Amino acid sequence: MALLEVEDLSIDYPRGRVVDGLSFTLEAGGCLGLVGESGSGKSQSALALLGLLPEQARVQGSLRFQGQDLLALPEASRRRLRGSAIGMVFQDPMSSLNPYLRIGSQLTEMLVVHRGLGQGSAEAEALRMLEAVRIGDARRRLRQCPHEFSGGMRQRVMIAMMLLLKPALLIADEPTTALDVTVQAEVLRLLADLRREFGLALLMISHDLGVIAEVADQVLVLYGGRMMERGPVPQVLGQARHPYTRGLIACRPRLDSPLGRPLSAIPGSVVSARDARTGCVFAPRCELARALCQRQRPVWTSVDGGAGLACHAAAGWPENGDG
Amino acid sequence: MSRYALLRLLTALPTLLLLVTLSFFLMRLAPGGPFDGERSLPPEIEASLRAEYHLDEPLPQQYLRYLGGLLRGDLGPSFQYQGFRVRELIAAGLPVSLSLGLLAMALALLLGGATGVVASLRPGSVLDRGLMSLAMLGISVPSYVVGPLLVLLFAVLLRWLPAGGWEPGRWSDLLLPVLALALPQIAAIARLLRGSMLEVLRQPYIRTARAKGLPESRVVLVHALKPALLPVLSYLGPATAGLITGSVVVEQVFGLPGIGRYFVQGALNRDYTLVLGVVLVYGAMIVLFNFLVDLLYGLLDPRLRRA
Repeated sequence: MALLEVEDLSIDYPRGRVVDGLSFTLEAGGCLGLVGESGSGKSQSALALLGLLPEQARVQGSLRFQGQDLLALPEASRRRLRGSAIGMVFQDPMSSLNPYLRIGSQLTEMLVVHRGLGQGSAEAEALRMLEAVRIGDARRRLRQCPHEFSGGMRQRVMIAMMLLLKPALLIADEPTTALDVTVQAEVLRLLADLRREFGLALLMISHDLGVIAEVADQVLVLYGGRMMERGPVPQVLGQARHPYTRGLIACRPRLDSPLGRPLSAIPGSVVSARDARTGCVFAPRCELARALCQRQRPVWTSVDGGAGLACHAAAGWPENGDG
Repeated sequence: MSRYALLRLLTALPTLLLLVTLSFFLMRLAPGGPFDGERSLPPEIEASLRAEYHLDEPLPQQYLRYLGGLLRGDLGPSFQYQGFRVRELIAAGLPVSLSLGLLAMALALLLGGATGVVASLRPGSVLDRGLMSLAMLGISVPSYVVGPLLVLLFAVLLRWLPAGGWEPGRWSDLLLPVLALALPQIAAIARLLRGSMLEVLRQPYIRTARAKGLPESRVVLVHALKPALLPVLSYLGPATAGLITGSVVVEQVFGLPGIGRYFVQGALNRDYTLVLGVVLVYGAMIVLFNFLVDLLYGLLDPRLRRA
């Protein structure tokens, strides 16, 4: 049994659908990278896993975590899972910690609320965890407030906080996007180490293919709320078949590219799932698009090596390849 | 911290001096004097009274004389309550006024705070809209209307509480006045706190608190309420001023022997020293409250603590 099985997840708002038919599995201790531009539904999917979407959002499909159906659980049980079995680290460490409370109490309250620990033993645990994320002088640091920490340190505090209860799954939503490049590498290395140490499964959300390539073993490419391509990292990022994935890879700025050569870009602008109900969501920006792509939504096609994708072109233009 | 506190208190002195000076001369600009009654006194008696109270001296000399008295802690004689010093009158009225004001402030914080939090949890709901309409009403109806209405309801119709008056130690006498005085502040604090709660509940750190699996009560009362209280705290300075002006009216309506009543009667009778004395006490209270608010601000917002 996989740790997390997501099947045909869709999220609807009164103004339209933001995630449409997302499916993946994540094994215990594994790492899945969720890639896509902003607005592709990455964060919405993550919040759906935690049950933190706003009230007007309607979630459909099946979310099975450790065998239990998350969507069927009452709110009280979902709350107990949050933080203890599923942790989440957010993008902006500057605003994700409460600026008015000491770091110590933000850490210990996890243990007090979920485990019923006393203040003393909770503090000892918090201290150990701060040391595990390599924060020096941890005892003094517990008495400090977030503004006394740098961005990278705050993200490490955030990670420490979410790992205090040894969750089986950590969702990291662009955990390094707001950080300097050097600090970014440090936090990624820390996450990789902690993953090994705690046997943690990681759901890494990023728009940065470099980050995904470094930490993930599976990758899922999202566009406009729909799955474009999914599979093992070497296969999807090494031999991308989907034109969108290829476009993303081509867009990465490279230090070794000749000077003066303009960066490549995918023409057009991002759509969301609600804009395109029929056909392929990527068709308006796709170089290979034909009439079929506008008309008919491509079906999910498995290719060898456990990968799969949704693209008429990559599937060899079924339906006699008209257009 | 204590050095900062001392400095703040010292800078209050020029403020109070300015207040006394302005009030002193403004009072004298008003037509009439303390001994202009409906029946006029014989000229020689009035002259001897004026001499007795040094009102025959040039104005600057009277001003300096008053300041000299202040330095010795003397607020001068009352013109209206013959034989009483202003200090004695204020000492008698202050406990009543302070109980009234502090109880109203406490009630406003408790009731206004609870209302604001409850309304913010379901914005746009029937409950929220109902509470906020009531609050709007509470802000717009002045205490000299609320006071008599409360008397009409609780004293005249229901006969639960006395309509006015004051006997030391009978706290039920204070119930209606406190309510009348607190209502506008309850409403103001409820609206203010609802707004700041809504703002805070949108912050990323509240999403973090929920992602930590904390019970909603803890998210609201610990993670959101503390930052949301800051605007309420800064409102407490102006609220003090509002309570003071309100208490002048409320003491009059309910016949409470507080300093607000002296203020009104003193102003009507041109009892210069009595009015000045009350103004000085009011001014000192506003300064003191603003000072306390600043100290509390530092305690609530860790980013200001070291500044």
